[in-house]
Amino acid sequence: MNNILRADEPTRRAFMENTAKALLGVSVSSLALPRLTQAAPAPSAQSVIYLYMRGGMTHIDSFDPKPGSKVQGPIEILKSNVDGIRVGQHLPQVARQMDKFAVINSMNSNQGAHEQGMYFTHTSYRMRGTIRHPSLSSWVLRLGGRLNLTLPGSYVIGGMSKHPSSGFMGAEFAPVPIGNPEAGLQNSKMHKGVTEAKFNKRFELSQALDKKFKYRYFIKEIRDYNALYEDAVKLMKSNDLEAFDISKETEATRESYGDSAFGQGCLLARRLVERKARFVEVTLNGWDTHSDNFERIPELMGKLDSALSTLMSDLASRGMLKRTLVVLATEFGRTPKINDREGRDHYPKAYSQLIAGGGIRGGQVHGKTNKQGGEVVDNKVGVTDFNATIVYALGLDREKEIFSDTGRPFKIAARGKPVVELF
Amino acid sequence: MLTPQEEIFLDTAEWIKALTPTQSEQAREGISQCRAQNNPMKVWELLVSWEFLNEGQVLQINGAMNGKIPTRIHDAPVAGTEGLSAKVALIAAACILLSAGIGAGSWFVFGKNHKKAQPLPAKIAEAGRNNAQIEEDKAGVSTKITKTAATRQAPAPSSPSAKIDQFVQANYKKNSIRPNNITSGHTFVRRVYLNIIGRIPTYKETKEFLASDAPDKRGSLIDALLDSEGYVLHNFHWWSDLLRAKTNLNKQTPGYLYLDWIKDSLRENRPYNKMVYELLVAEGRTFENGAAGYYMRDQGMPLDNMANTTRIFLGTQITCAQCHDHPFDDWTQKQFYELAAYTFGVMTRDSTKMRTLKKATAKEAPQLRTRVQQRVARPLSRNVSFNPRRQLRLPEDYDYDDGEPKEIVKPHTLFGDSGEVARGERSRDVFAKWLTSPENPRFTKIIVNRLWKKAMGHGLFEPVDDFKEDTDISNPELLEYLTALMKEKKYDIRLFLRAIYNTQTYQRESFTKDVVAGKPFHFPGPAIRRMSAEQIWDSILALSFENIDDKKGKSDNQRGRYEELIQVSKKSNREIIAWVKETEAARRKGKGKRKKNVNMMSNMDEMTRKRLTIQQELRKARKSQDKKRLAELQAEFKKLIELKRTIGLVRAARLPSPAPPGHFLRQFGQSDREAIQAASKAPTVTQILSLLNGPMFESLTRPTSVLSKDLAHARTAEEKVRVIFISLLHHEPDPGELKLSIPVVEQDPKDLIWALLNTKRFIFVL
Repeated sequence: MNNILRADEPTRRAFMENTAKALLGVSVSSLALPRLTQAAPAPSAQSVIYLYMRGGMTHIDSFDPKPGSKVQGPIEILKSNVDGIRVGQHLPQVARQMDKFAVINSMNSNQGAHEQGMYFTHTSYRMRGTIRHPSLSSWVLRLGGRLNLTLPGSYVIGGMSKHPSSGFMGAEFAPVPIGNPEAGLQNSKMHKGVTEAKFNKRFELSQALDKKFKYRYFIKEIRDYNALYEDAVKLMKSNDLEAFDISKETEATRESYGDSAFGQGCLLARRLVERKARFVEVTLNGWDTHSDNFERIPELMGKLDSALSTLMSDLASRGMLKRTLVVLATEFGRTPKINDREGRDHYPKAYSQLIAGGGIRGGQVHGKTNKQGGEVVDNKVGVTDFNATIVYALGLDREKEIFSDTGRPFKIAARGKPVVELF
Repeated sequence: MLTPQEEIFLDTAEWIKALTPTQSEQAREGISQCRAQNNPMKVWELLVSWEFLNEGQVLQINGAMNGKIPTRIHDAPVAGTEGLSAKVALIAAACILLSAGIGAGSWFVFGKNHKKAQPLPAKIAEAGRNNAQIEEDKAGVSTKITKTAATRQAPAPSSPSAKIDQFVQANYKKNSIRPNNITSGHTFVRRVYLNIIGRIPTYKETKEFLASDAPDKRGSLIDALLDSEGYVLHNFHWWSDLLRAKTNLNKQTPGYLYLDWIKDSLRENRPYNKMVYELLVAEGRTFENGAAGYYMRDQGMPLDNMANTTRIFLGTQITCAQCHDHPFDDWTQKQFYELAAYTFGVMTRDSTKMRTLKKATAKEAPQLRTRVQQRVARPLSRNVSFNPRRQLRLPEDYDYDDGEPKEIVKPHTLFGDSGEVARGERSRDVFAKWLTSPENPRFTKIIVNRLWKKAMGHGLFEPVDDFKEDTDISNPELLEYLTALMKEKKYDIRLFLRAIYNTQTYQRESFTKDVVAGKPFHFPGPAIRRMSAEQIWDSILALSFENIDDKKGKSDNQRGRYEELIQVSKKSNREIIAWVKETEAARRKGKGKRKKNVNMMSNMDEMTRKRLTIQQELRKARKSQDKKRLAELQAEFKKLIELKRTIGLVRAARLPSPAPPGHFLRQFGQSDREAIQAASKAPTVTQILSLLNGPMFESLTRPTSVLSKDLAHARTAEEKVRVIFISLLHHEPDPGELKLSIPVVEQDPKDLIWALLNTKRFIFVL
């Protein structure tokens, strides 16, 4: 699948070059796309673990510290295991894994409200009253397909409310919501007291009693349901279902991910990706720190620190990092200026996100803000560019148009351009 | 020498040999069951219950009957897998009829409730009341007989229903379509309950209908259902999907009154044109005037709102023209702006209070300032009003020759009347009048097609909300008639639906194949559809709780929630601040929590309180070893737990809308109300897991469930099987199904309930 998709990359590039030559009288290769035309890039991701910091994660207190500036506040700054990369004091474990991450400190958006920002981050399109765009996870599933045909292809762990889900693509591409990572996949276990023999007997009876109907009505929807019933039963009986059972992990592993829904969610994400899930989103709520930012940060960052650092070392030690893209995203940053309630407010103009694995070169910082952390001064990365980078890492076709139910064409990362230097 | 009867059996025996083992087993089973009934009426009932024959169908025992198999049902050759079973049934029927003394060359019309009873041969008259009709020797007139059979169901010739049928039939002829048979009572009762009130009928309701001898029992049932609260609860979803109405329209903008407005409109049967007009001219806050929810839904996005308005009410898509000339349609960006200019003066924010209160609290603590804004100023600012001075300008990047960037746009309509705004008139009102006028070339056409689709599963044109001048209409004469009918009925939706539901067209058996997109569909019967998420939910609950349509839920009685705020809003700023201070202080102390009104929240609080009291009492009783009291309390406790468990188990329309992600309703594709009619019927694994292993099964098999109670009346295993079949699928089990099911039920009726709940037949509307 990946190879086929990748195969059209040079073709498209050739097309662009020709078009550019024809229109501008120049060669694209001499201007843009430096990496594309030089050595082949190494995007190698098959799956995405998308960690979503809901509410707007403060960039200055996390990955874009401003030593010596008034905006820094009381948070101390830690050196990481990469020269020149520093992080906030509440991320000590992540600091020791910085060689695996690309930090983007030049994120820029123009959506300053939660719902709109979250929507834009997830879908690459502005929120409109006339259409519902699909989230990136649905796009990936639609364009890339499922890698494991027994399990659902994408999940949102904790925090499905207000998630744009599959938008106009419909339920079949919608991520499966998992409220509590310890509870596993909803309804995948048989009713209490029902043995497998009893289940089979019931299922066979059901099939037999539905036969007349099935033959009489030659309807695609009915055939789809029949096929999916078989899938569902296959799933119930499959060993892959174990993926949802995080109690199978050692106590030590579970502990190191952290005793939080987010931490255990990350562990579940790793197990799902191990079984070739395409896209797993895990939400960490609570970043909307308008007041008492510095009192609330330690707990939030504590959860993030143990979960993210363990996830990275876990993926690395299992040799999964090459095919797993790990993303840390949020709707916007927070104001450098500390307000009169010791808080920080919404700030889309400049903020930080992380990307790692899947062929990304670790240990780099991309883009820069000014001394106060309020303006991007170098290598601005838009929301759609960031998403295009994810798509690029997955080797999916960014130019493929999918039509909405109202007949309008859309693309996976809108007009975003991947930051190919990261690979 | 064999008797004719014996000859038939001989022939049948030969014929059966050609079948596969399963088929022949079924055939033998069917024949033996028919033979066991020494009574034509019973045979008829059996055949109907197996759905091999329907009410009103004609069986021809043709001239060459001697020793031959009758080959026709309703003049339609029987074929395919179904055909085999049907043939078997026919043979059996023929045997019985012959033995009843009905000779070759007879027509036998199956059916009940014949008003014009013909003189009956003695034997049959004996056998079954006034139910069978025999006409001797009408050779070669199969069409005539078919018609005789059909008119039995037909509405009075001058009625709108009959006229609709005539238009549909004219199209059958034109396109050589063979219409499907009229449904059996079993299929009808299930369909009409689901289509009109959104849930399956209970066992009792089904039996009542089937047993009724009333002359026009189908029509009476349609009327009763249209008049019921179930109609409100079901059609509510259709409207909310269309309008994207939600319990929470936005932060600080509650939508429950908007939802109530929809329900009230349906309950009062407010004419459609009036409903739309009310929405388009609504003003005020959504917690004071529900209809204000329409503009509030697109808060701060007047252009998007206009694109939605034209799509919903005029079936016209001009969204593209919002940013550029429409690529495949004639609309230009200029036209879009001219239209949007009518409602551009609609304001969804009024920040006066926010400003004045900010000033008034300038010296207060930051915490209180925030509180005043959050609790009073912000909700009050969400207010729909009209500012006639607000003018729309073309965008900065306007790129066409018919206007300059940033030029002021004058309102102008898209089609029909030009919608001139006279002096002293509000452009928004002119627009609302133009849009809802019977003269508007699209307004009526669009709603009748939407309602037609609602009943029949497919529109006369598709898509229903993207009408263009060159759109193919499968039956233009019918569309024109329906449009005229809607105007004649003064936009009375119930009367209009009533006309459709009473047609033969609606009451035919469903089309057995996929309706092909892009090809005109001529309605040999309605299109088969999966139940909506709400229909599945409500149907399972109908099997679980008595009088489910009346069981109250969280979204009932929300009206009072903002009463206090409405009162406070009338006070001076100083008083408002004092009120916030006071209530905040009380809140912090944990005393005098803001009084919640009589909604589910307070019920739940009450429940918790009750639970705690009982637990306390229980402890006491245990200590004092008062066994009687202990037993009483335990029973009470159990009841309470039960009540608590079922608190969210009410009809979907009584739950917060839309349900939260991951809820059963959402799994099955309930719209998130973010896009127009965004409900989905696509199958997913999570849906299936939910039916296979989900908690809904428990609710319908609890000992107190409707289904369990109905089952308790059944004595034998066979009766139990019948109750379960009727309750879930609304048809009698056929012999094969009986044979499979009886041993299962003897062991555990739940197995059969589970099996039927997981048939596709259960979740589809035939």
